Amino acid sequence: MSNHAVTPPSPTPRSGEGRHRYLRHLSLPDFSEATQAQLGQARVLIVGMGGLGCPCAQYLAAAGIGELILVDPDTVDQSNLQRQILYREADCGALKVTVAARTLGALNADLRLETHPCALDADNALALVEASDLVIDGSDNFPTRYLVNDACVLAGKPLIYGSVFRYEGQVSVLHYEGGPCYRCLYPEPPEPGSIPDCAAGGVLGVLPGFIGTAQATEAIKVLTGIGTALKGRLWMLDALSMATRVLSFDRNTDCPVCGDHPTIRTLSSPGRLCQNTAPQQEPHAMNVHEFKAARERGEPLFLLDVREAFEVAICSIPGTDRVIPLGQLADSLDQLDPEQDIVVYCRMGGRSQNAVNILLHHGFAKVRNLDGGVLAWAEHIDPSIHTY
Amino acid sequence: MTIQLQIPPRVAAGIGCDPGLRIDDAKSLREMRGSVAHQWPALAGRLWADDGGSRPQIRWFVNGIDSRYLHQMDTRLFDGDLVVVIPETLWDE
Repeated sequence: MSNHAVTPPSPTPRSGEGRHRYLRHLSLPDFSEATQAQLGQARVLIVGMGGLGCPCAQYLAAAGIGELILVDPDTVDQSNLQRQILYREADCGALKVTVAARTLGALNADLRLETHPCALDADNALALVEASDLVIDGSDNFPTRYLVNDACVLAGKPLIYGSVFRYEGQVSVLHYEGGPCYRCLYPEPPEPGSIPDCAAGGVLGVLPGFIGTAQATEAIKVLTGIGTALKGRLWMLDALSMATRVLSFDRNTDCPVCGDHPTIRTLSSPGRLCQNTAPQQEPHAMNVHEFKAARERGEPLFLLDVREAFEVAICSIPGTDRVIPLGQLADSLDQLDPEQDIVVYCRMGGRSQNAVNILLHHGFAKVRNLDGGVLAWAEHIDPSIHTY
Repeated sequence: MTIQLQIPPRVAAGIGCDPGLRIDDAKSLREMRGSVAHQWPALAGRLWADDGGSRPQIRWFVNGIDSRYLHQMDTRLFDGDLVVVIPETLWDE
């Protein structure tokens, strides 16, 4: 928890202003000054200040939450501006938590803000969660999602889960009043590469607004006790049809972290799965230096790109022999020679590992994954190519 | 007997089918695989393991209830039942 900063509340007492500021809350049935005071006393941890964290934090700040603890190691990138509404063009390159704290502090001077420009990990997670009344999951990788869940279970804190992908989003309230946790739904993180569209999915810019705001709604309900929280229910939205669906799931008595005989009693940081794949080289893999050297020696390597067309339009590794998006690979095997030495790549190595598995399954013996994908190529071999 | 199978639009787009499918003559989630494989083999491969079991990152809900709390892949299906498939997802920032 090093390098964190704390912004104190306004030195000027705001007695008298509060009632007017929150008049629309106080006009609600079942929402009293005591209810508003519950929000004012609450400490909320937000893990990830991206597409979900931004709208969620903004509405919680406006609603009068007492303190927000913001955790995110990233800086603002131009590609964030399509959906991460706390940031402006001039903020590109600045730490997200710093910019967010500035914007949120200007929105509500009574708000206390604590910023942590670091990733949540096994060393800091439990202390951060224990210091909070409730946690918002706006994470962008599976290890963090599972870590947040486990920390909330171990610390006994409710977790507001949200996820968006392309045109779809999900929200649930986890580990709340005996309800299920995330591992009750998905007990273990996926294997690297098993979620095929991880890095190439895209998202409709307004969709995180829907879902992050729904997370803020659930947070307010849990903190104040109003309404019925999404405990044991998964709320889903398809923005293309505006269809919503609520699915029920129960606490799993065999859950490895919240079940009757838990096997997870401490936190661990398993490392990022999807984005970076495994740090050690897999048997059917080669790194970009090895690939470059092999090509320079004239080895007849067939370079297969399994990314989507819009990604290929941004950048490619020179000499790519064929592009077959992962989703079409199983139906396009006749385009490949099983006797050929094939090297497969994608953006970061996750989807291409999945492609290697598919090809191995279909009898392609000489197939290897290019570790780190086109991003590793850009970082180590050719920094001039565009990345995304 | 017809079962409604609802798959995520992103999965349907990748397969080239409609997100709302009508499946005939499937008495269980496991049996449904045969009907799906006949029309959309790639979809069957995405949703079911080779033995007809569920893939680990996929959850099946029958009429809104998690199938793990019914009879998992052997959950009986009846005419008009709604089966919803929910794969684990992640948005990469």
